[in-house]
Amino acid sequence: MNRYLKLVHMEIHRFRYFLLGLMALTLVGQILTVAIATSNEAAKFRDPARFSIDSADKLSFEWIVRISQGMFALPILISMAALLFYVFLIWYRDWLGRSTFMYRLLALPTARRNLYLSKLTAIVLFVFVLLSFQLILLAFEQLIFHWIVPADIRGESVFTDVILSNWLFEVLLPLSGSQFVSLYGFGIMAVTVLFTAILLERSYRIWGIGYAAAYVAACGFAVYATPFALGVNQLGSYFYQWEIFAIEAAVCFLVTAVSVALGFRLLNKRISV
Amino acid sequence: MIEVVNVRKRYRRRYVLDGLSFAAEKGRITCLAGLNGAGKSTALKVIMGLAPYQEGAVRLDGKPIDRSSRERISFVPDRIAMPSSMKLADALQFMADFYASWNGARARELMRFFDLKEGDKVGSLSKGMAAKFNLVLGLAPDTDYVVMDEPFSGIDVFGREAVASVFSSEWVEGRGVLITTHEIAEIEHLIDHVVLLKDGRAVRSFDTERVRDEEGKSVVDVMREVLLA
Amino acid sequence: MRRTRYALSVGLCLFVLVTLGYYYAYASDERLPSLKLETIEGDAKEGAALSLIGSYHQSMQSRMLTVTTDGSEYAQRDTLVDLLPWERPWTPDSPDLKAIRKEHPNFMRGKGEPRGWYRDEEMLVYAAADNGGSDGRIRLKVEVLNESSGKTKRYSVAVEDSQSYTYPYTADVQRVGGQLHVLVFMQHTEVADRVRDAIGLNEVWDYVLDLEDGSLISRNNLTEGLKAESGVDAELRIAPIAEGSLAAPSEYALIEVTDIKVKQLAHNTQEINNLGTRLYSYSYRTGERKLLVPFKTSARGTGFMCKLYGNQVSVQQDGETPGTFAWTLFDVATGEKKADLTVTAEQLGGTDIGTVFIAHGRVYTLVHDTDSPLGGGGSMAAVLDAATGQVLYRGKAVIADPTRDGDKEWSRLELFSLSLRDES
Repeated sequence: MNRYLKLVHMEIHRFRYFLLGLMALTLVGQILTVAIATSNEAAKFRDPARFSIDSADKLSFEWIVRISQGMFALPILISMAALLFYVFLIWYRDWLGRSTFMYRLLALPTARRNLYLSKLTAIVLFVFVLLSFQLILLAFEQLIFHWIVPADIRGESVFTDVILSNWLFEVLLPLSGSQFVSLYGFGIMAVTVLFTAILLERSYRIWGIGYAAAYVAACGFAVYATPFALGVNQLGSYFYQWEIFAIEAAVCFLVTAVSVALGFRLLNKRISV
Repeated sequence: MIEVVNVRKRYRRRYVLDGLSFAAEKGRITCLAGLNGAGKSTALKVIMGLAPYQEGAVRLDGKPIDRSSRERISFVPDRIAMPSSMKLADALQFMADFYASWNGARARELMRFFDLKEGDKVGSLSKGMAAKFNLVLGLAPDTDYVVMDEPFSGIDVFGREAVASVFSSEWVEGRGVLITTHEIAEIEHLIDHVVLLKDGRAVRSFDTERVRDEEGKSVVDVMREVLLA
Repeated sequence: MRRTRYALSVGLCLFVLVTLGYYYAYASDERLPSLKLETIEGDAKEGAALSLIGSYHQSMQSRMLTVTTDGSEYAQRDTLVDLLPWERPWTPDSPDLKAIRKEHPNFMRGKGEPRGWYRDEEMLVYAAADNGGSDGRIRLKVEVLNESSGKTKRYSVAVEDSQSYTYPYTADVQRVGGQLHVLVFMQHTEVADRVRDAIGLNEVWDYVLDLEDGSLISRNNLTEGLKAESGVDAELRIAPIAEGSLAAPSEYALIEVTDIKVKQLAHNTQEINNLGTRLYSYSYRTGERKLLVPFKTSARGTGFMCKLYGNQVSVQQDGETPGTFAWTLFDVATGEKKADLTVTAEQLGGTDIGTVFIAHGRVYTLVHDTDSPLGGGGSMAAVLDAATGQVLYRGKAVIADPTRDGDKEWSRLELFSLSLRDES
């Protein structure tokens, strides 16, 4: 446990500047967007020639978020792409270059599964750090909005409405805790499948690419096809809807468990540097 | 004793190791010798669990090698194997974190001996200095065995002298050392036992002192006899 | 440096736990008002069956909600899952189907026709018609569960000379003694191939099977001889109407026949004009078809809404003047008119009639009050006895939490529909 935690810390430590960079990008991007959009909208409010079709008599932060969907989303999408890229890089970086760190890692007297688990933990943590940062940032942006807009034209916004104003926020930070768990549970499953695909490639080299692709396809198919195979969109299907969802959840758990177990086995028995 | 028993390892269509058997005893320096491609590096990787094998067994003191064996066997690879951006001090801390057998005092002694600075980054080391640092990482822990893959490769002549002197020092005394090297002529006098590899198999294994005394041959002579015949 | 070595990692973990924890424990709660249906007058039991549907508009968002006597429930927002290409199929539900699902969940598996059920004290029957017989004949598949012995019997019958029919729909299943009646609504294929396939000549057939061995005893075309009565261009639209309680026994079914005129427009579209409707009753026992309600044109052209519950046929129509609705009750066996009633929104405490439907011998309606200062709060649910028009229940949705600003909340709420809780 101790060694696993140390490996997690090492992974975090190695990525810290990158993480900081993504957070900075989001901060700068969104604050600029808020500042510019707010100033523009506030100016429109002052303009006597303005006729409000929408009859909003006050300017609210929710409105600002709503009209800046794209600019808000851009740094988030970049971060998502960067993290997806790092899902691969977190492994491959230890093989690349002159200094093949994987030699050291595999020679450590710690269980090899700790290598897998620490990288998985690190990725999950980075995702949650960025999510948490976004929440704090939103609150801060609302403050900036307050500073810029004078009280006479300023309308109040409920925080949950601000979240719902942007489609990406609504999906990534769902208001329902159970939706959060299922969305990120699904994401963790996907990461384990990718990790195992990477290890397949590293264990079997040329053939490994084929195995990896086949593995990802098989897992994807299992997860995607199960509800349809059970008749989720058919009237009079043999299984009841709730049973289909329960079976699908079980399939997802199974895919995760198989991926992790296979990953462990590859690391123990088949990996080579 | 590190024992390799009848190990066969396939890579693509070729058997890189084809029924390899030998032993490296504690307290002695054993050298795996052979021509390029004979399987020397692969044999070390197999011992360290860095490469899978299809048949055979690798044992440490009679028991199969597992995770805890890695506390007792140090590895000095042929490349630096630490992230380039890491400082030497951080690399030492890394080893201390994971090896219960890490000896910090010995590490500092070795750093001084090789004239390495803790504040330098791994990526900034020259090839010679990197090889020396590798030795620090390999020799500092209190392990019973040290496995080294081409410890002299790429080092200049004075660097080699420094490295060679380590072999007869207290830092190595009492441990079992298994090395592979091309510069066998230079360190012949340090080696106790040689295992000659050809086509993935041990074709001859002998004590250097006995061969020198009884047959009057050097290791290179034996190699010429066996491998080039 | 020693102690602060892990500061970054520990700090990040704490940051995540605190922030996401706070968000999900507190900040993500939308704090939507909860409502409850409360009785204004009458029997609260009648109100317990109701479910009011509405929406709550908060600045730029709106949420669907349902209100019952137990409280209110807001619809879950779309998740990523809802964006995937599976459509959840909608099927009518009712208390009797719910009971069957609870008591015989395995028997109910894979049975998708909502009107294919019949249940009495002795047996539970499911029958469905499909096109799966060889040569494309209509095939009837029947499963009978004996309630006391728990044994199941299965039959499959292909109907002779039925190749010209297609799109069979099981409209009702009834039992008369040792015979099973399966009411099937179908189209003639040659009509289906024409452009006007949606309103091709449809037929309703009663297939009679022997419950002992599943053999086809006889068949009866309920729509035989029916013709349009309003002129040369008129066509018929036929709809079978079965007992409203889906699995309940009934001796009768209804056929609703509407005269329509179809005008072919450009781009393969049609304009359909409703010329008038008449209603026939059909007795399973005698096989006789009787005209119940003669041809009746509707003043506003919106036609009838006919239902059959027990022995009572209800025919509902929008009233002659706005703000009213009217209905007529007939005894299905004798054809005798039992009631002919009109109710106004004022009588119920509102100005407009919103949703209204008749079921189980009751008239259910949602009445709106456009003069109400409370906006959505002026809507009222009412339940009347269909036979007498007497108000059995009136109820209003109220905001459960007294600390909320009622005026503000009601300005955001709108109740626009009413349905029965256990039925869909």
